[in-house]
Amino acid sequence: MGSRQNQAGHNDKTPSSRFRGIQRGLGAVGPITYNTITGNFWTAYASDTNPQPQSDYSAGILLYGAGINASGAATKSTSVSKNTLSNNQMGVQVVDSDASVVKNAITESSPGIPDSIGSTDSAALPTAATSMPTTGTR
Amino acid sequence: MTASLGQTVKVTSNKINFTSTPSGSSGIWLGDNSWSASSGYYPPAGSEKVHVSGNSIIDAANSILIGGGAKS
Repeated sequence: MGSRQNQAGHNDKTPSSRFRGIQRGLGAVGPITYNTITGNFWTAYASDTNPQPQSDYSAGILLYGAGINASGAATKSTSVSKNTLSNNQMGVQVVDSDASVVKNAITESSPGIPDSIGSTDSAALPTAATSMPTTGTR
Repeated sequence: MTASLGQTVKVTSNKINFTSTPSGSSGIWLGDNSWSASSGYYPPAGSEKVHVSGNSIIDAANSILIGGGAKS
C-alpha cells in the first residue's frame, strides 16, 4: 500500500487525540511519496504521562512499526520521499521501523517544535500493555 | 512487538527550514533515548543504525542530533 500525491493537513489544536497526516504502523508497507502535509498539532500533552519527549507532539508522517513482522523484526524498509511538509510539530518520525527519508521539503514556523526528522528505536511502551497503545507514544 | 528492533534509518538530501530558530528545535534528531522509565512505562531499550548525508538545514537550534540510541 502506498501513499502518493495526497494532501493532508490542518488537524490542529484538538486535545482529545493526537493527529498525524499519514501514519504507517504495525507491519504496513509501501512508499510515501509526493504528499503535501500541513498543520498537524497536538496540544493535550499536559495529560500525557509517557516519559518519551516526542510523545507530546504530532507528526506529519509517523512510521510506527512499519514493515515489521509478528516477532518485531524488520522485513521491509519504508521509503518517505519527495513530500512537502509544513508547520507540523514534527515533520517525519520513525519509531521501530526501517526507513529511508529522502528529498523531502520540510518547513516549520511554530515555536517549540522539537525536531523535523526524528527517530527512536524504542518507543516507551506501557509495561502493562497487551497491544499497542493509542496514546502515549510518538 | 519488542522495544529493541535495531532499525536502520537513512536520512539524505532533505531540505529543512525553521523560519525563526525555535528554542530546542532540531533539524534531524536520530537515536533518541533521552528519557528514562517512569511509572507504567519501560525505559528505552533499542539501538538503531543511522545514515545521514546531504541534508540542508536552516535556522534550527540544533542542526543534527545523534542520540545515545544510535550506532553508525
